[in-house]
Order: sequence, then C-alpha cells, then structure tokens
Amino acid sequence: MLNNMRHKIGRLSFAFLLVVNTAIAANAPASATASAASVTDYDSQAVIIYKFAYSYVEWPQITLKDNVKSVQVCVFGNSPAFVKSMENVSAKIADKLKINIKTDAALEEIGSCNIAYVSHGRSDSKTIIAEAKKHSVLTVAPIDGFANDGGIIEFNFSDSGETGGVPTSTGNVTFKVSTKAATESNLKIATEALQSAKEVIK
Amino acid sequence: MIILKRKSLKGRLLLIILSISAICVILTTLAITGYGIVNMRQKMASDLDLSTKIRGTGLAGYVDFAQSGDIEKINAILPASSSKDEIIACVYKSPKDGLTPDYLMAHHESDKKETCPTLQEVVAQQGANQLGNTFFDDNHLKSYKPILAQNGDRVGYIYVENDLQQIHEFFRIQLLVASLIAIAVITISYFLAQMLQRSISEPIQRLVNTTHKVSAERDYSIRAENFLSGEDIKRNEISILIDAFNNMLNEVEDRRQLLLRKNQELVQSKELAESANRAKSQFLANISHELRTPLNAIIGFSDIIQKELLGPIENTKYVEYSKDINESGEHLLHIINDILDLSKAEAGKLEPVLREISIKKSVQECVVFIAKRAEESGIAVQIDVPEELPNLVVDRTMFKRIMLNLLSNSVKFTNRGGKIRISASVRLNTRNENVFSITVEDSGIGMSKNDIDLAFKSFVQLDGGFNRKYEGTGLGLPLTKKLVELHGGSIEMMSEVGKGTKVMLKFYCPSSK
Repeated sequence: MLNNMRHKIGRLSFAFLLVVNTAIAANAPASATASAASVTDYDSQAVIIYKFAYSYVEWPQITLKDNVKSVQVCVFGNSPAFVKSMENVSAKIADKLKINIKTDAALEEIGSCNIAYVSHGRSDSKTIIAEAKKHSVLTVAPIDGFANDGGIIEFNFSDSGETGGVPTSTGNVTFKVSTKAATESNLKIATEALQSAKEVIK
Repeated sequence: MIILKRKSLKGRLLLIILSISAICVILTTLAITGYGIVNMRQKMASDLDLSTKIRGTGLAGYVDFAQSGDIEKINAILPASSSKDEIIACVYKSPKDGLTPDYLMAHHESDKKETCPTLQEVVAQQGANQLGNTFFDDNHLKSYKPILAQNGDRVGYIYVENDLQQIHEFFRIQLLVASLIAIAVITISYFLAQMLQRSISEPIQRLVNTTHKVSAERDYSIRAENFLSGEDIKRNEISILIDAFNNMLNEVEDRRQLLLRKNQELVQSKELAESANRAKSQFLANISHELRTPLNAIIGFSDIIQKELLGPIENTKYVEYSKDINESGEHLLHIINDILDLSKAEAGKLEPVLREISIKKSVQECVVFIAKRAEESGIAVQIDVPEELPNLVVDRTMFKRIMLNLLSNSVKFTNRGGKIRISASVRLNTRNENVFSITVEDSGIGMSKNDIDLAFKSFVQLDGGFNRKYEGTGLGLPLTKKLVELHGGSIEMMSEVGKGTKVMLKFYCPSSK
C-alpha cells in the first residue's frame, strides 16, 4: 500500500512537520495539554484555522475584495508560538487569504475581529465568547470544554496523529465544532468541515 | 452465381428471399448493437463522470482536514458507493495551497488486483486529457477528478476505474437475442417465401409441364392454363408469357393443319399425275400394238413386191418405191418398238430375265450390227474388253439393246474419220460385289452439260427442228437409261462440244468368289 503513496512535499517547513508527525507516530508520548503542545501543534492549529477561514466559514461582514478574502485574527492571551505559526501559514497563503494578526487583543476591540483565538490559560474565555457572539466572531481555543462553553471551535490533542500508518496533515490536533454556537454568532459553517470534526455540538 | 443458375426457379426465389432477410436481420442487429454500445459507453462515461464528482465532493472535508480517523471514514465510505464494474477507487490528498503534504489517502480495490496510479499521473490526466477527465482507455473506463471544497478550492483528487464487463455482458446478450431473432426471422421468411414464391414459380412450372406434355404427346391442341384473363393478362409478365405460348401453339397448330392439307393435295395430285402417266403408257402400249399389225402387213407386202416374188415388174421405179416403203415400214416398226418398250418400262411391265453373259461376246455381236454403217462413214471401231472378265448377269436382250443404242448413237454423231472405243473392267467393292464398268467412247460432235440432262428425257433430240441433220425419235437414251436402271445399274455421260462423248455404264453383280 505504501508503494502507491506519494508524499509530495512542496515546502521545506512541512518536511519538518512530517518528520515530527512520523516521530510521534513511532514512539513519542502524547501531549494531552496545551502547555505540552509542541510547535507542531500550533502549526496544525494555524492550518486548521486557515482552512476554516478560507473554505468553510462565511462571515456576514466579510466580502471578497479583489477576489481575496481578508480575515482579522485576534489573539487573546499570550501565545507567541501560535502567533508565529499563524504568521508562517499567513505568509504562505497570502495570495489566497489575507490574514491580519493582532496579538494580545483587548476585549473591547473584539468588534474588529473575525476570528478570536483564546490562548490556553485565559480564564475569561466565557466572557470573550459572550462578547464575540455579538459581533459574529469565530471563536477558537485550544481549551478543553471550550465548545461546550459556547465557543465555536475547540482544539484537542490526540495520542497519535497517524491513522493506519498514514500521516494526517494536522498532526495529533483534532477539533470539535459547535454549530449551535456558530448559528448564535450568525456564522455559517460548511458541512464538509464538520466531517472531520471529532465532535459536532448542535 | 453458378449455384444460383443451376437451381430451380423455386430454389432461386427461396434463396434470394432468405438471403435478403438474413442480410437485413444481420445489418439491423449490427446497427442496433453498435448504436447500443456507443450509447452505453456514453452513458457509462457520463455516469462515472458524475458519480466520481459527487463522491469527490462528499469526501472534500475528510480530505481537506485529514483529521485522525478521517482515513477510516473515507475507507468506510469508498466501497459503499462502488458499482459492480468498479475495479479501483483512489483518493489523494493534494491541497492547492501546499500547506500539507500530498499523498494517497485511501483506496478501495476489487479483487482484480489493480493498483492506484501515481499522483503525478492523476494530476497529469485530469488536466491534460482532451477527452475530458473521464474516458475509455485500454478496455477500461477511467475517471480522474479533483476533489473540491465548497468554495471551489481543490483539496485532493479522486480516481475511479471501471472495467467494461457491463458492455461485454450487453454485447453477449445482444448477440444471443440477435441470433434468436435471426433464426426466428429466417424461419418465418422461409415459410412466407414458400407461400409467396408459388405465385411466381407455380404458373411457370405449369407452363413447363404443358410444354413437356405438348412435346411428348405431339398434341398441339393442348393449351397452358392462364391464371389471368382479359385485360389483366397484360399486367403480369408470366401471364403474357403463357398467352404468347398459347398463341404460338395456335400458330403451330394452324400451320400444321395447313401443311397436312397441302400434303394431302400433293399426294392426290401425284396420284392423279401417276395415273395419267400410267394411262398414257397403257395407251401407248395399246396403240403401238395396234400399229404394229398393219405395219407388218405393209412391210411384208412391200418386201414381196421389192423381191418380185410373184413375177418381175416391168417398171423398175415400182421396185424402187416398194423398197422405200419397206425401209420406211422397218423404221416405223423400230420406233414403235422403242415406244412400246419405254411405255412398258414406265408402266413397270418390263421384267428383265437374268442370265450370265460374256461381255466381250455380246459387245462383238452388237458391233456387227453397226459395222457396216461405220465402215461406210469411215469410223474406226475398237473393242477393248479383256477375255478373262467374269460373266455379267443381265437380261441378254436388254443388254444388247443398251449397247446397240449407245453404239448407234456414237456412229450417228461421229463424223467421217472418227473413232469409237468400247472398253470394260471389273472391280470388287466393299459389299463384296463385282462392279462392271463398260465404257463407250467416241470422238463425235459432243454436247454441252445442259444438253446431257435433256438427252435423257423422252422424245427430246438436241438438234430439233425440221432441218435436222440426224434422224431418230429421241427415245434411245431415255430407254437405255430405263433398261440400265431395271438392272440396278447406273449410266453416266461425260461430253464436251466438238471433242466427243463418253458414256459409262455400271452393273453390280454379287461376286461368286
């Protein structure tokens, strides 16, 4: 089966991702918490956020400008690793999706955001969620129970990023989606995106 | 074509009708099958095209996010949508953005041991093939499709390959059905043709039977039965043929009747002519007999006067006249005898009395009769008859009459200083008969070819008219001919004007050896 596989690695940075993935698949112990999250996990989170933003989420206030979607990502809390990963992804897909990153965003500024990334360790996630819903902001957080608390996308970290020897593109990061929260935020999430969700909260 | 030529009309018609039916059925079947296959291929291609596209769309989320567990989900979904023709279905992850690596995510294969093509191949085919990304290739139907996210962004590829079992199955069934239809159509055609060909072959067969009957029985009153009548006859060629045949028979019958009538008339005329001739001969025979009696008295008494048997006559003129009377009487008697003999011969009353004679002796006896006259005219007579010649079986008197006639003719028509030659020979023919050839040749005045034919006719003398130089009744040669023919022989005359005449007689006698 492996004979037929084609690992087409176009970019150097993803060679790295692959190596790490493979290493995890082989013997590395699972990192179950955000504090233990490797660089790879942040990269994965950035990729997933990009995919949602680019293909699967419709914001009422965002329209295409010159055929390029422009998305404001606000990071709540201090997470330089995520910001770095997001910047990496942003740089690579600049021609398709324009991502502006605002680090250490204040709650008052949430109206100007399209995506609110609540970093691990922020205890006021519920407040942020409540505020975000008012402004149709896609709330994303690597926090357990985030989706159940009213957040839209919650990242989890599985034991292995591999399936049957085939590396996934997002490592050991999985996600839950709350369509309920999305609807409350007046956001539309495409059903295809829900296929891969570990759990969909309706 | 030769096979067709030798066949009967019925056979030909059957063969032609069956061939046409068979060709029609085969061509129709081929056309329908061909159209069906083309149609089916198009449908298969469009079906696969659409189903691949739908399957790809359904997999877009799994392929794009490729979360753990997605591959199991894809693997679970892929076979569920497989058709029985599907050999293999392959799903590749290949996001346009290049953020994650490209690879074969999942594939489902049938038991046909096919393997997925490489991603490069799939990428090349889905973009490069002019036929579209679903097409027939090497007895397989292949579909290469990009997997698109909702916004149209390509996240991967799907490849599905079907085999053509369905078409083959269709073709087999079509062939079976076509064969059954062909057999049915040909069988029906055969019985229909059997029924319908009768309208053509039966009238002709009846006509043929009639011709056979006519020629076998020689009955020209038989007519072929025509299946049409009146004006309708002209509408059908066979009917016209039968009508023409009947008309021809009418014509033949009319001619035959005419011929029979004419023949009967001819027979009657012939009998009439023959009886007239017989009456003439009878009359001549009677009259000759009646003439001879007074003539004998004239000859006898004139002879007595000429010889002065009852005493001398003073005036010698009386003796001279009585001599003239006597000679004239003799001449008249000679003529009457000739007429009598010819008449007898023509009336069939002359019967030869056959005896063996020596040719040489008989010829010499005849020559004696003409020797005096020949001598007076200065004509040399030569006899070239060999001594050892076998005897000829003829009527002695008739033979001498024949020879005498020929010799006296020769003497009569040969000028002074001329020559007469008599020769004879014998040879054996294939029927073991002795063929005697007796030739009388002279160096006389001769005659033309036309005259030879005339010479054998009764009462004809070539030098006709009052001032004729040569005496005679013209009965000599016809009588001679009759006498020769009575013996079963033949007479042949060759002559040239001014050079002489040659007469050749032929007698046939069985060889004694």
